[in-house]
Amino acid sequence: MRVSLVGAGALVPPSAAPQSGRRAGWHRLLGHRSFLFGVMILAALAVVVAAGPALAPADPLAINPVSRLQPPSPAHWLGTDQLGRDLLSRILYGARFSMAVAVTAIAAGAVIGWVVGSASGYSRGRAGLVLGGIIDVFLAFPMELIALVLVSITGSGLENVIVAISLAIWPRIARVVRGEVLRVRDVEFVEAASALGGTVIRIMRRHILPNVLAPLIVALTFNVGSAVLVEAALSFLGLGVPPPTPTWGNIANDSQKYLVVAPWGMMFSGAAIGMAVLSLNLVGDGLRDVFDPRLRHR
Amino acid sequence: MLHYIGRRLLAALAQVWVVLVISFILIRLTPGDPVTAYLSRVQSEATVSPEYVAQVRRQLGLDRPVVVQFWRYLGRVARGDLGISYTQSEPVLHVILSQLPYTIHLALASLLTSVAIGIPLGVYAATHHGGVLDYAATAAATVGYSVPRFWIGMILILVFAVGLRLFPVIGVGAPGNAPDILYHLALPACTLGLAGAAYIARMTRSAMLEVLSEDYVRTARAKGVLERSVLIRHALRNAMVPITTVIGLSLGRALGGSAIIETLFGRVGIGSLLVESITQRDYALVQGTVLVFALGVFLVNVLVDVGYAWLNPRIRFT
Repeated sequence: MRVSLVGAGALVPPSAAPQSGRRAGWHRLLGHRSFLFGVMILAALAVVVAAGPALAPADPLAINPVSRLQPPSPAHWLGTDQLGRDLLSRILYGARFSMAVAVTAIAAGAVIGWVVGSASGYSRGRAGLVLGGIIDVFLAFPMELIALVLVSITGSGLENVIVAISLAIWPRIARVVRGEVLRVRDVEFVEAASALGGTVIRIMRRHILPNVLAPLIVALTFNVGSAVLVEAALSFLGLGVPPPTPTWGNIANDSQKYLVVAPWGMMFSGAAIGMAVLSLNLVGDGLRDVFDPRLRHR
Repeated sequence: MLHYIGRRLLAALAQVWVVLVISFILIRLTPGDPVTAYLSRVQSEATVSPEYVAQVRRQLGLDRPVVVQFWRYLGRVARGDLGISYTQSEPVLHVILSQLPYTIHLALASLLTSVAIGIPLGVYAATHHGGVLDYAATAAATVGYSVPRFWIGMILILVFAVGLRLFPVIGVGAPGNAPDILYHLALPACTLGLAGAAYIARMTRSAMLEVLSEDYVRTARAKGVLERSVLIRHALRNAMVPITTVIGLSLGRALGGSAIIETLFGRVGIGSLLVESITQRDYALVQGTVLVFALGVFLVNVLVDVGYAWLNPRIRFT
C-alpha cells in the first residue's frame, strides 16, 4: 500500500496552504495504475451517457416480434430481448437512466448525510447521541433492504426509486462525516475559532469542511457504485424503475425468465453494471490511497 | 463480559423498537386500501357490499385510530402474534417460520463459503505481497464485489446447471431430505458466498499485511517458530479482529441479498417472501418479514460485538 505525502491523520488548518500537498497527491494519482484504469472506464461510460442516443443502432423501445430472443449477431451486436428489442441500444440508453438514478440519489443522500452527520458530530450532549443512534440504526441494515422497504411503501417509479436509494445511502455518508467532525471538533484551531466568536456555520464551513472533504469525496465515489447496484437490485426484482424504460436492472429483469435459452440481456447488462461499479471502486481506491490513507480498511 | 453483552442486547432491543415504530408509521402512509386488496383476492368484486367491507375492516382492526392500531400491534408482537397475512389467509408468524429455515440455511452456507474462500485467499495474498497471485487475488476480489450478485448467480447457473448439468436451477429440495437440500443449496450459497468472499479476502489481506509488520511477528520468527504457526497463531489471530467485523457485515449482506438470490433461484425463503408481500401489498406480511429481518440483522450485530470483545480483550473494559 502506498504511503501518502499528506500523511495519516493530518489535519488541515484553515491558514495552511494545502496546495503543495494536494498537487503532490494528484501527481501520485497519475502513477496509480488501477486508478487510471478506473478513470479510463469511467471516461468511456461518460461518453456513452453523453452520446448514447447517437451511438445506439436502433430505437431501444422498438418492438419486433419476428426477431425475439436472438443471440448476438452482426445485425444485433448484443442480441435481442423477449420483445425483439435491440439489446445494445437498450444498454446504451440504460447507462443514462441507471447513472442518472445513482447520481441523483447520491446527491440527495450526500445532503442528508452531511447535515445529519455534521449535526450529530458537532452537537455535544443528548442531541448528538440521539442522532448518532439513528445513524447506527440505519447503518445496521443492508442498503437493498432499506430501499426495498421504502419502495414497498411508495411504490415503484423513477422518483420513488431515487428517494429510496438516497434514504438507504445517507447513513453511510453521515457516518463518515460524523467521524471526521468528531475528530476535528476538539482540535485547537476549531476551539480558537469558536473562542473568537465564530458562528457554527462559519466554523463548519471554514474549519471543518476542508478536513472532511477528502474522506467525503472518497465515500461519495464508492457510494455511487453502491447506488448503481441497489438500483439494479430493485429493478431486477421488478420493484424499481417501471418498464419499458431501459435501466440496466430492468434489462436483467426482462431477461430473467429466459435465462436458460437467451441469457444475453442479463449477461450484458450485468457486465455493464459490473464495469461501472468497478471503475468507481478503482477510482475510489486510488483517491483514498492518495488523499486519505487512514481509511484504507473501509 | 456478561455486562457488556447485556448492554449490547439492550441497545439492540432499543433499535428493534425503533424499527417497529418506523415500519409501522411508514406502512400506514402507504396508498391503497388493504381491505379492498384483501377482498378482491378472496372473492370477485361484484359480490362485495359496503357493509361487508366495513365488517372486514372491523375484523382486521383497521377502523381504529392509528395510535391504537400501533399499540395493539406492539402488544401482539410481544405475544408473537404478527397478524394474519391477507394473501395467504394464515398467521404471518406461521408463514414466516415455515420459510425462515430456508433463508437461514442459505445465509449460513454462504457465510461458510465466503469464509472458506476469503480468509485463505487474503492470507495468501498478504504473504505473497506484490507477487503475481497477490495482484490476481486482489483483482478478483475487486471485481467480485463490483458485479451485481444476480450476475454471479447467472454465470453459475449457466456453467454448472445448464452447461455441466451438475446442479438444479430452481427450488429448495425435498423437505427433510438433507442431501437434496444441500444439492439445491450449492449454487445459491456459492453466489452469495463469492460476493462475501471478495470482501473478506480484501479485509484479510490488509489486516494481515498490517499485523505481519508488527514486532511480535518478527520476534516469533526470530526465535524460530514455524512459519505456519507464526501465520496462524500470531498473525491471523490478531488480524481476526477487523476480519470478524467484515464477516458479520457479509452475513448481514447475505440476508439483504437473499431477496435477489431467492428470486433468481426460485427458492422459498423470507427474502422472496418480502418481495412477494411487497408486490401484493400484504401489509401484515411486509411488517412481519421486515421485523424478522431486523431481528436477524441485530442478532448478527450483537454476535459480532461479542466475538469482537472475545478476540480483543481491550474493548471489554471500555
